[in-house]
Amino acid sequence: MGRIACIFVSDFPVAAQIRANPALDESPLGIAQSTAPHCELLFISQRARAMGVRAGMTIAQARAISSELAVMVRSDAAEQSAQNALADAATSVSPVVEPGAPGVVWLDIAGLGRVFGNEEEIASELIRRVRRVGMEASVGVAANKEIAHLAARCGGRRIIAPGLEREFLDWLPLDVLDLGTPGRAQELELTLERWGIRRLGDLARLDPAAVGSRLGRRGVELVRIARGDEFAPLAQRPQAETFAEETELDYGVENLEALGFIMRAMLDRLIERLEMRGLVAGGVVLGLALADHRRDARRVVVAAPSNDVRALLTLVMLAFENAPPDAPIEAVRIEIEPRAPRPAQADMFLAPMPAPQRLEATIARLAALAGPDSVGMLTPANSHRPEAVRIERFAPAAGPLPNPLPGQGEEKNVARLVMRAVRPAMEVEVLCGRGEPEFVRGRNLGARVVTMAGPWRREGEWWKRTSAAPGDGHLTSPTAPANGGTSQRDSSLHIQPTAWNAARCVPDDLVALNGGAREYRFFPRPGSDAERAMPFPLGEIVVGEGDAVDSRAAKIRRSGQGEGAQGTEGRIDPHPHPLPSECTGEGLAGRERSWAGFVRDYYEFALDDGGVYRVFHDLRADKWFVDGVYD
Amino acid sequence: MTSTADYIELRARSAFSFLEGATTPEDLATRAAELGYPAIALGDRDGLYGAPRFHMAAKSTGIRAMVGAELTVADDAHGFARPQGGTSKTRGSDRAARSAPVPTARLYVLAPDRASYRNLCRMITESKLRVLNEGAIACDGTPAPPEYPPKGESWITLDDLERYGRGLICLAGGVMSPLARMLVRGDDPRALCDRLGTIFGCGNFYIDLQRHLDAGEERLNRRLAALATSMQIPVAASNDVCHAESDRRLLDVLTCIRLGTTLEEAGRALWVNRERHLKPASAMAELFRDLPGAVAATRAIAERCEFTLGDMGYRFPDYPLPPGETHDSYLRTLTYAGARERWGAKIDGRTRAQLEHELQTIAKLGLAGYFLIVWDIVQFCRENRIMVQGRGSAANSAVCYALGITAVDAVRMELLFERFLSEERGEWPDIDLDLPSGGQREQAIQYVYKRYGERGAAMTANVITYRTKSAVREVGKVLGFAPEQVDRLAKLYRVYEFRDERDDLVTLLKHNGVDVGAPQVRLLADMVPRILSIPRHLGQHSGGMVIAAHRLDDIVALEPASMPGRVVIQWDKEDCADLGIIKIDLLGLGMLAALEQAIPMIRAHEGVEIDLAHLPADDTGVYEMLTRADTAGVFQVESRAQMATLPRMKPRTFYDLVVEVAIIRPGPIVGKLVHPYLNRRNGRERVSYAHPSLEPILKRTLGVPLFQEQLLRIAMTVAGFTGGEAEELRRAMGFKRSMERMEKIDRRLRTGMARNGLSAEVADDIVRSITSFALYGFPESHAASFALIAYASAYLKHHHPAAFFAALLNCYPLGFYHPSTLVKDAQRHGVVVVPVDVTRSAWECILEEYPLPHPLPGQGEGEDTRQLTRSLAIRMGLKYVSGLREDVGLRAERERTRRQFDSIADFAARATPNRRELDALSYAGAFAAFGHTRRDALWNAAAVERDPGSLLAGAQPRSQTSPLPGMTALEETLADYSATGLTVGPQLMAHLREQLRGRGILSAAELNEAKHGSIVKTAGVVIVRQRPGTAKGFLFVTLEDETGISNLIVTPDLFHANRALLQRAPILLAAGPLQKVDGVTAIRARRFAEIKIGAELPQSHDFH
Repeated sequence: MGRIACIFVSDFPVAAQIRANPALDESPLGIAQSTAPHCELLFISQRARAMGVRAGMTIAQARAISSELAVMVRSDAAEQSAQNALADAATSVSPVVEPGAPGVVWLDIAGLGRVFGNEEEIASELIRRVRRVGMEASVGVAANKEIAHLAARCGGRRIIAPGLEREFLDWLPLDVLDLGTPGRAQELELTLERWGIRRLGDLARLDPAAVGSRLGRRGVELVRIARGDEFAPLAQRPQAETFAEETELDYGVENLEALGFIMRAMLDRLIERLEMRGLVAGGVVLGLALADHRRDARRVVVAAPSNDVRALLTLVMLAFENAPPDAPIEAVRIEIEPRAPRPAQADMFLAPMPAPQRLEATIARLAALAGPDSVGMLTPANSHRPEAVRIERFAPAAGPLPNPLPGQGEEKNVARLVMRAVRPAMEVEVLCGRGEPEFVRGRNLGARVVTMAGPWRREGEWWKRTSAAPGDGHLTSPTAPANGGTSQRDSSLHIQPTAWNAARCVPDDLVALNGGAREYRFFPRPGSDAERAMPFPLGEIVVGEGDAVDSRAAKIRRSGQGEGAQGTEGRIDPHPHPLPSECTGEGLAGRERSWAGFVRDYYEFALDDGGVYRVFHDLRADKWFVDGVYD
Repeated sequence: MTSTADYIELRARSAFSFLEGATTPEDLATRAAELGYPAIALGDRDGLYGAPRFHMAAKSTGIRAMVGAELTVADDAHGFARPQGGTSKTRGSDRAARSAPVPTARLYVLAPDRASYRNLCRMITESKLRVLNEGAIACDGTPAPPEYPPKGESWITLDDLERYGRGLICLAGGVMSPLARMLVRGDDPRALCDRLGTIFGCGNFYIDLQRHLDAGEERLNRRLAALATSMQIPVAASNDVCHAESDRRLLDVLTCIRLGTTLEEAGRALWVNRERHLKPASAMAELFRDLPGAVAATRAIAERCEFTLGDMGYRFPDYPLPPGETHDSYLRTLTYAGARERWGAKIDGRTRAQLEHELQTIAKLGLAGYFLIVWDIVQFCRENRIMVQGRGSAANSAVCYALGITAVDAVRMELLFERFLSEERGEWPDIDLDLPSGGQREQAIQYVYKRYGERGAAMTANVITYRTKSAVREVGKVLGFAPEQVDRLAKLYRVYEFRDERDDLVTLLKHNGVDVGAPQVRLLADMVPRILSIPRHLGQHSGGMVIAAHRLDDIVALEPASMPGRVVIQWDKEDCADLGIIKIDLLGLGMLAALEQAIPMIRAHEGVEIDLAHLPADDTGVYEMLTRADTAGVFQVESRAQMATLPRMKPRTFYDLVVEVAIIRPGPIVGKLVHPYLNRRNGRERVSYAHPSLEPILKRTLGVPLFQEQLLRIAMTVAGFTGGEAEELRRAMGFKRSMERMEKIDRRLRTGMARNGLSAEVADDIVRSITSFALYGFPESHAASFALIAYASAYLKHHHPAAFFAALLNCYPLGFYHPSTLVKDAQRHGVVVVPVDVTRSAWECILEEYPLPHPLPGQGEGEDTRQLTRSLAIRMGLKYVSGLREDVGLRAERERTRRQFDSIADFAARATPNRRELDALSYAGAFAAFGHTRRDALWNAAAVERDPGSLLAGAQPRSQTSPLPGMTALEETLADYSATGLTVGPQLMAHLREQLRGRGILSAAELNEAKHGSIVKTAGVVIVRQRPGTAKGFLFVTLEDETGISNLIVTPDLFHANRALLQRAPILLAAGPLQKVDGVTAIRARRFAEIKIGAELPQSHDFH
């Protein structure tokens, strides 16, 4: 009579997730089809079960019991990797292995006594090996597959001695039977419960044919299992020598550091499996599923086959740093090409480190110096604050840059005017007479206001607060930053003041990138001097129909000024709005002051030095700033 | 020269623009008055939703409320952009789409006169009731039901404007106008200008310019101004007001809710600044100082817009009269005819005087037509055997009683007619009709639609505002909380009616581990209360109908209700009342449906004809039952609080029942009048009166004011108020209290009392009692109407319990108790309840003759037993088998009348249940008639082939005894709960009794034997949990066991300490001192534990 061992990992989808994300082991975990609150938990971890959470509860119900519950979406990739790892652990003990349902692997252990000792010791060894590949398993040993499986489902090590199978089965509660797919299993479970069948012994006493006519083929199988009559031989399946781990992420990973963290764990697990099989990594094939539904595949050559995880990770990371994926990563697959261990030999046609990687290393070093969030490419943020930008990964576009906002075509009959943004905005003194700005004085600037347009009031981000005043629900921020400190990156923090000087370039070098209804931000045209000088947005300009632009003279002639003026009832005032009392900062109520965010009045000043400037008055700080210069 | 006062705000929207405005109409009107505006217009998006409230608020502040609307326009053929979802939430994953929705074009119109207002109403109605699938055919070949635009997404076309636009004043400026959108696209808008000019007519078409300190908008203004000049279109100034004050935060939050985004991501989807608030006229004039004509135009337009909602021209429809009759004469004829039926041929002088007084008042107020129309609806119900009864203050009227509208004899009960109708108030009366809930009520509603035409009648709306939980959810999302956090935060608000400081949001957050110091959390706590008064959307009122003489859509815009065949107006019932639009409430009452079901059952099975109008009013058995608080299932007096009061009240007359219905209400409880009344009733306290003149008024209630009518009469007696003034006093002190109004009334009251010689102390006493009581008082007439139904239900329960409980079970859901409790109560009343049986059960519960065991227990030998060998039993209906479809149940009923079922297979073949249904029937024991135990039935049912495609389909396997183990008694009970939600066998606790007794745990019956003050333990299935707002945080739990019901009282501290257990446990074990006061038994529970049995039980009725 043969002896079969069964390795069984309970709550396999949970185990597979924890294996892929070891940090999850610390918290109660549930697996569901989605993370929507009404979604039911399909599987739960032991820790969650101990807290009273049960499979079948909705996530919302479970969270009401345990607020710490982590919920993950079921991952086929993680389960496949875990199943392969289980098979690897089994193969490292016996050559005759049959993978079963997820979380189940059988192996023939007849004759292994001389290698591993008695059946107890073999079971212990299997448990140890499964632990090495990142899971906790139980092992059952019996005369046939099903009994071994049932024994394993009882937990720990359970050896069913020959002849004691029926006794063991009679005792078993029905819960240990795998009743099939979830929907069908639920129905079967309900039927058997209503029938009053609680133990396998109760089921064994029923006539298989009668059960078959009521519950179908699965019913007959269940009775035969309950009777210990199932003698299907072990069907050894040839195992592909594929060592792959795949992880699906709940969110798109855009950060290399996070990716490195994920890949390190994957490589750890792969190397463990390789070592168990006595192999080394000879190459790494990377496959990424990106958020835009494209796939990114690349191969990393390992010149000297090795199982050094750190070295492999460095190679992989360099490959990414060199050409990062251009969309967030939603799934990662690492496949290792196994090699038999042999002395290392350098590839005479490959340089040890390609030049681009060195460049990337340099960028990485810069990132280390300035912080990972401070290196990259600035793009305009969706905000009414003109200088609001966000930093995106440095990725020079291969083709022409896109035009304005998606869905917004270019406006007709609009001339373009270029403004150089002053970053950080330069504080100036504006002298007012009869409530109107008359003179601007600042560093390298001192001129009378010839004409002006504005104010154009921009405000927002009131929900961003800096400090809390207890008790009244309002927070005070008496010293709100001049440019409205926000989480969005302010370019002034990251661009050297001299940088924009380098961007003094002709308008042809610029292309519109983004903007509101009439606002354009400009990027250097690819390949232009401007781009080489400064790959970040230069600024914004607001122009209207009929506005004349003379960029070389750095002048704007607004419609309504001089000849060609239009208006309904005579001339339209180019700066029709009187300066509100808020200009002095006194008009803002204390309540409003207590909130952060920004409130600014923007103006375009034509000064008698021949320049046209965009100036704003920060009403909270009651300070004036030059924000841009029109070319 | 433009004066600074020339500016009038013509364009404003309120929160009734649903998530596009952040101010209530009242706040807007108040602010306008503060700023000195003589008039202001409100134009909400695609409707007149906020207009009545705005009108009333403006009236009270002395300014004129102009009526307008902002209309979404869509007509591809004429250059208008078709709506592309800009007005509705776009919750897709596309972030770009969320942050930059495609706005829809809108035109703003004002109604200068009644004719144009009528056009505006019709145009909006047309757009809302636009049938999108005209001519569509359903699958069965019949015309498909009409499909209307989704809620909040209606639009008008240029053709609609052609039909209805004449007379309206159009303002076509602003960033959302079609002209602006064409200019932005670079298209030439002149043709459209021409067309709009032709539609609205010369002098009615303006381009309004807005200045919000926005550069882009200013550029648009230039283009619009140039267009206006070139086309010779006058311009006007406006500010497109979205919020009354300058605080924009609420508007930003609402914008994010509308767009389904967060504040952080909304970016440029929010307005660029907060300039869209109501500004002083001088500031607006200054802003438009370069365009003085535009400012002057606003005043010119405002002067033309004389129309207000006070001038809608609403008229109630005329009742078709017989030749030679007037409304008054016909009402008189009908009244006296009815009076002779009610009071007999000889009507006594008092009654006649009352009728005459009422008829004269009705005639003076011109309301005879209204009474005739209500009478007509009642007649329809009578003719169609639909039970109907008027409630509310209408029951104060002898005319209503004579007409059969109400069932309370207002003369005999000396009810005050002025509470219902008075000359001084000059208001329309409010008659509410109770109808059996369900199909019969719908029949009455459809009758009204049919009688007054599709556009002549409609339901009133119900303005849905944010509840705290939904507010937390929505604001939490907007502030960027993770969905899980939002979910958790919202769940914290699942509290009972009572709330104390521990239920406060910040405290709850703190106790649940949320950092309340975090800025976002504080923002949440700050914003949630602000959003609570904001309308979220419009629902349908439960029964209010309005009708008009000609077309209702001349008066108010109509829109489709979500229920097919229903149309709703855009105003709620308060708005209708304010504007003098008459509403008739056709309310559904579950108990009426139950009574209506019970009466034919009694007739058929007991041979007794029940006439609810002529029940003996002094049935001692009924009053004894009420005194025992044996009232589970009895209308209005079955709650825990009522049950606790009945033994102390010891009702003996119908009036006692009226008092009982009224006394357990917030008014008497908050006014601390319950104990004084009960003490006086039980002789523990002397009956006294604040002033001798009050004795006649308060004598019936032992000197304690319990009813609103008493309050009115007190004012009339001690202060010399007329009936109408007294009602005015009640209203002034009601829910919508106004300090100014109250002070005025208070002065008048005191002056009146002083004139009548009452001392200042007595006056103080009276004023105090009036002030505290007026807020929550209950009208005596209403209590009397309800008491009638309560008495009728008690009468049926006492005399015909089988029919009564069968009807209750069929009309569930209604009342307080789950059917499982009702079944047990029925059994305790000697009613045999037999389980579901496929050979006998109908879809609903029925009565059947049931053989009693012979001889009966306790029966002496030789007694005549012939009359006692059979009894009535309730046969549980198939509807109680969980998961059984109604069509299967009805089919089984039909098939059985053809030929009785003889086996499970036969049943399966002819009733065609699916596998689950057959299993459920087996598990419920419904096949017992075939000689099967439940397990046998399950075994045999499983063998039936139910796949119609199978070769074995139709084959009837031989019934056989199963090899399965039999069920224990407990298993059978659990199977009952699982399959039918109730058991007709032993109650669950009976199975545990032996163990419980061993642990000294008493049953409900044993508690009655225990001594007051002794420490006792009891256990039972939790059937009710209640934490009423008037009980200072106490939790009341009702437990049920096999012997009856027991009550637990839990202090607030213990509730908070055991919150999870007390809220969740289906079977509770509690211990504490027993309290027995006036025959009412309860345990002041101190310790609790859950008893687990591993099975699912019916859910308790929890009052959150």
